[in-house]
Amino acid sequence: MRNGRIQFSVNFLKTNFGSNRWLLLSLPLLFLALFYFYPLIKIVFMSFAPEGVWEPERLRQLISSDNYFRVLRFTFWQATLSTLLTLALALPGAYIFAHFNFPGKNMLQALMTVPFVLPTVVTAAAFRALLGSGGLVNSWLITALDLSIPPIRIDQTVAFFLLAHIFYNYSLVLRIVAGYWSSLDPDIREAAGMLGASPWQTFKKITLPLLVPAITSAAVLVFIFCFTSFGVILILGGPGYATIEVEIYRQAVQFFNLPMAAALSLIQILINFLLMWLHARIGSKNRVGFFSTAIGGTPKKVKGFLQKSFLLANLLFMVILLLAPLSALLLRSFIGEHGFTLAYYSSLFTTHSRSVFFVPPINAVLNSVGFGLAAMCIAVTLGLFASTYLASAKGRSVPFWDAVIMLPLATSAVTLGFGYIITLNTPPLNLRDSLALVPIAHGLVAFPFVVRCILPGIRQIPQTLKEAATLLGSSPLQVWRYIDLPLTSRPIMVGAIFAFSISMGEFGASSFVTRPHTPTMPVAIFRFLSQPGDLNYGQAMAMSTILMLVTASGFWLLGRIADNR
Amino acid sequence: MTILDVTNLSSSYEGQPLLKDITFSLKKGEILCLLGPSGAGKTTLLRLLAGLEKEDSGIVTFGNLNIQPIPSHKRNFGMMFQEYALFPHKNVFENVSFGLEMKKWPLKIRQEKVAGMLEIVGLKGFAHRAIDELSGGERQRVALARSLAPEPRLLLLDEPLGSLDRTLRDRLATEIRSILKALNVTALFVTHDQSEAFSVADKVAILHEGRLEQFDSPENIYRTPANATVARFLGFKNIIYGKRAKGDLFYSAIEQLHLATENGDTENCTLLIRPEGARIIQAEELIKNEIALTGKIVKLQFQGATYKMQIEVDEHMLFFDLPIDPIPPGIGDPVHLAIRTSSFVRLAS
Repeated sequence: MRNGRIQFSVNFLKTNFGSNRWLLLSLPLLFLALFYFYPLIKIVFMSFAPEGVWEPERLRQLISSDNYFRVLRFTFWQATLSTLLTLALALPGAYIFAHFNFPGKNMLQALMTVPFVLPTVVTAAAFRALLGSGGLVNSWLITALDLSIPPIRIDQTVAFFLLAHIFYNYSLVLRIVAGYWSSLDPDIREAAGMLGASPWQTFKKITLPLLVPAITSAAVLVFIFCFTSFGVILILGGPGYATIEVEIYRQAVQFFNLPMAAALSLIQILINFLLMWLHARIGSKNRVGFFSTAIGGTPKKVKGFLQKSFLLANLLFMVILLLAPLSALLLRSFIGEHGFTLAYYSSLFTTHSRSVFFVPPINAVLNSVGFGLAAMCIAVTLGLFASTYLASAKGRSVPFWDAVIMLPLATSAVTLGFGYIITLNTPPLNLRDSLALVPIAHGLVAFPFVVRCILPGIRQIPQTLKEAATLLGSSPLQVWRYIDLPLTSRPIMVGAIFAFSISMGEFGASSFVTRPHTPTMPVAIFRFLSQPGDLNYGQAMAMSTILMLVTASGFWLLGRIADNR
Repeated sequence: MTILDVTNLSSSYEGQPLLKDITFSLKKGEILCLLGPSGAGKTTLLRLLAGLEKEDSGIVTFGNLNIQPIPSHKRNFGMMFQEYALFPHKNVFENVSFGLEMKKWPLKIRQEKVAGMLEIVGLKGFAHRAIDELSGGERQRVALARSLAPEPRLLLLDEPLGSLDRTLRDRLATEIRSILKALNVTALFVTHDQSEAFSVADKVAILHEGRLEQFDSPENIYRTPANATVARFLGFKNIIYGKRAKGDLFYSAIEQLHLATENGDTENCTLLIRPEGARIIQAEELIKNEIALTGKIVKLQFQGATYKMQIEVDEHMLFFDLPIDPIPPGIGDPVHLAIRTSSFVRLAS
């Protein structure tokens, strides 16, 4: 009798939750439909029918134009080159991290997370501060060697943004490969040795083949990032270079050639999907860690002169690569033509007559924080709904919906921003002048990351806990409130941190949807950097420093909240 | 013919001694089991011989040649690792053939050799299986085949059965012995499991805290453990400390067991009574070569072939395995036992 009743209530729980479960998914799906699929479909339509008439011939003309090919070729070329360079530089570092113990290893590992959270615009500004014609190294050399022109002329060259790409992706490759490398069983190498393989043969036949999944996974990821590179190339490459992303922006914003921008967006969408699919396939086949690959294993001590100098050279490179641009940025924001100054910071508070702003630039800080918090709320709400659905649903449809939710990850922010200005400025959805557009775009970009943070957390909760709560009289909603939510507070916090920092640094979509009087910090920095004059330059440095600090303190604050839980 | 000769081998890690003055030698075709609790230095000794670690001092010769300067990949020793260390990106054939490939054997001969090895370990037809399709027992066999295929001069096995369940272990232990014997391989086998060691080994070396406590055949080790440490490790519980005898008497802590010392042996004052070789008697029913002992039954456990009996004598607990006939008295009752003198072992302290 009692058994029967328990069975009944468990069944009731299943069916009750089952029939209404799709409601959970409907909110995220509605959001995606309005702010993701609708703009994207509009882009496709615009590609094929620029003036409302079905004209595939126009698209063919656009695609076969020289400019189109040039951009495409350059995008592939620079992404390949960046990937190869990053791999070549980061693999020795990965070897060191996987195999040796040395003082300061933990600190260096913490330092490695910096490029992950650094907005592209700040990175670009930091490299300008270090190596640009008005940068620190050049001004030192001019003073020291009494020169009339800057000796390092790297501004607006390929080398400049390749350097920034390496800065961005070096630690990514190192983390993925070193984590995987250290997890390889050292017995396997010893087994090869016992079977007569020399150290070189062991590396070639055993270690390297085993590392291939990690290296390819890292390489594809780096390729994706460099392929969709926008802010760095726009700022460091100058007008002479354009990736697809940059070209979409120029065609849409500078030349108002919307059909061309649409055609470029279309190809960007297709290639991105292909690359993300490739990455997902490699990842699922080989279980290569992406976000939190801990570098473990049993590291050895460094022995011998050769090992020591190899280690030292690599560590020196890492420290210079990671610290030099950021320190230059910080210094340059305080050093003007006549030495130390606070003028760049103070001028952020005034509306200058020569300025590119209608409001005091410092307002951008408030705008960014406000947009960031709003985007965080949007992304976390959507993420919670979607994760709860995906964790409770069963069957074949789950991977499908999971993939649908991940789609924004595979779409470049520039494409999205472009889609917004061609769709959301006309009825039925006229948000062109609404402040909501920025948080919506940022929330959409952050949403997949939030799901990736929360979903594993919910899935880890043992089913028996929920069943126990049910049998103690909790309704499905109460189970969610008292079991799921408290046990996932940490992943939710992590997701929130991600969402906030993504919003703070987002530039691609913002460059389209930000209104002139409510710029975000990255947009403000970009505007400063694209204007001549020392004051603009200095203000860019000051604003970048503030953005770096705001992002860092956001991380610190939310990290503390997460710790106290 | 002695093939492996280890003299005064010592090793340490960060100032902590791991092995202290290990000396032993092994004949060609012999199987030696290194037996000891975890942390005894068994694996360290194995890795020193493999050339995977460096010793502090001592000499290792193999076939009268000092092998210490030779790097591990040129020693032509085989090693079977605890978790097998199979190459996950290679299939069964490629794993077993790897050592032959390193010797640059042509493919044709490699194929024959691998097929032969797989047949010996009972995995005929497994050549093209992927490693992750194999069960634990199958992986163990692949690892054995892989380490044996290049015909190593010495095979080192590091707890090769450690991660398998009990029944599989027992079966594979005897199987490994017959394979090694059939191929006449000289081998060192590390284990912490006594019954595994006894069923595989020709010789057993008992290691404890980096010291070689005893080196002998399994029978001799069991019959006459060299000292209390070895006896305790083998699981013997009846270890009775005594006082040096005056004249030729051994004063043990148990009054009933003041025994005559053997051959004027006055050093060994600790007494071991092995649990078997006791029988229940009515009082005063001794035959030759037996010693009587009277105590109170504290615990009695029926085990099928034997009774495990715990008795209390002079406030000491003693443990015996008794035949199931005659039926023993109940718990709390007094019991008279006759113990064969061969079950008494005098231990070095």
